[in-house]
Amino acid sequence: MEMLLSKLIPISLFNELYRKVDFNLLTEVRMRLEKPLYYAEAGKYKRIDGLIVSKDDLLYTLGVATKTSLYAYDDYLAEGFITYDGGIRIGITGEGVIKNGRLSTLKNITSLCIRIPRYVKIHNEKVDCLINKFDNTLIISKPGYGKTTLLRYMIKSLSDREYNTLVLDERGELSGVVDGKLSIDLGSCTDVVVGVPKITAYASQVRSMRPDVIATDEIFGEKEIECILDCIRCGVKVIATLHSDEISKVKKSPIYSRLLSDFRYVVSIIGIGNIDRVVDLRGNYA
Amino acid sequence: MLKFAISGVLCFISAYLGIAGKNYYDKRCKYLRDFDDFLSSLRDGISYAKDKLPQIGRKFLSGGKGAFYNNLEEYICLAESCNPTQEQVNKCFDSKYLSKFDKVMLKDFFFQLGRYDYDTQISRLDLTESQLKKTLEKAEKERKTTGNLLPKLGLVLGIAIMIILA
Repeated sequence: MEMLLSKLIPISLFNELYRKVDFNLLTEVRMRLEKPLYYAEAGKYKRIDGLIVSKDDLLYTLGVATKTSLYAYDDYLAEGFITYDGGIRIGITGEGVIKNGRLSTLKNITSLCIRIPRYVKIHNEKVDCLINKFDNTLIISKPGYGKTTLLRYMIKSLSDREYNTLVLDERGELSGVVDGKLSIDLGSCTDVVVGVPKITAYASQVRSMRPDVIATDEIFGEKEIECILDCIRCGVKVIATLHSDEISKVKKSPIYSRLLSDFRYVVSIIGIGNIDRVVDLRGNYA
Repeated sequence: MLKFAISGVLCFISAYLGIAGKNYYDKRCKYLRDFDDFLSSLRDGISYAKDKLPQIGRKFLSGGKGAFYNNLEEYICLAESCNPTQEQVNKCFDSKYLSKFDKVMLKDFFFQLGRYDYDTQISRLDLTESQLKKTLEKAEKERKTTGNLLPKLGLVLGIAIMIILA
């Protein structure tokens, strides 16, 4: 990961980062135009004083991240992110370019948020129990608390137990697929769909790949809920993550509360590898 | 006898220079034709699968040899490892077979390559292709006229030197 970051971040910024950061704990680097460089170690933000990010720095990182092929990333830029090698996801803000009434790409980039993926071996009885008695599982937490990390761990664990696990990785973040290569090991029985809109993938891949489990990150919107409930109706188990800090908020949401009728477990997280509680919606609390 | 030997050497040098001149025009044309072929590959790669520049470049490089291929390889290596600066790009395409105008065209094109969205990239490709078409036509014409004339001229000049010295 250190090697990838040394390529991705301009040398002047990287050298300073190298001096101050424990790369094993680094989760995020934030580059904002004409502002100091920020980074997050184990979720805590820190600033490097006296180091101002220039426009050239932003363009350099963008150029490396797109492998000098910005034209290939229009759709991703319109979505506000790029996936780099090793599953590093770069969130991007800038000025929108509208064509035919839709956002076609971004120009004049002002901020980059480099998120570093982690595969953490989670030693937790609650998680082991979840895997042993596997059923539809919803993982919830605030952003940056480790939902994706737990999801990855569960995918690998289930895959290694020979569940055919289909990963719907629209943004390439879960698997770290870049140019057709998986950079994160998700187990031997895992099939990964990358870059396909999830709504399309649910319908087509359930029929063609016959998965035992579908795993997906960051459920969003009513259409996706419909698709997930359809998959469950078909007998496929689902593990999914959702941005929310409390189960009670999910229950109150008219859209997302529908999930709770078909999901068995809801896992809430309060930090990477740190599970707050697992609620068994069939009655047992852990 | 010495005069004869000297005139023979001078005749050989003159003919050799003529052939070297022809060679220059041939290689210049090949360089520009290879660049034109690369633009076609680039258009296919960008338009069809939105392949990335290093992929398109590597695929193209596997299909040929020559001065343009060598320069392109240097550029693709840079594009793979970092975001090349203008100076680095300039260094890659500083070929002796190119005129000042050609160099500016190539250096600008390769420096801007991959830094625009799809539509802008395609329009820049169109622009470079139309510029290159004119340059290539001119280079082919020069090759046919000046390029073909030079070896003959060299030989004639060599024989003339031989006759004068004899």
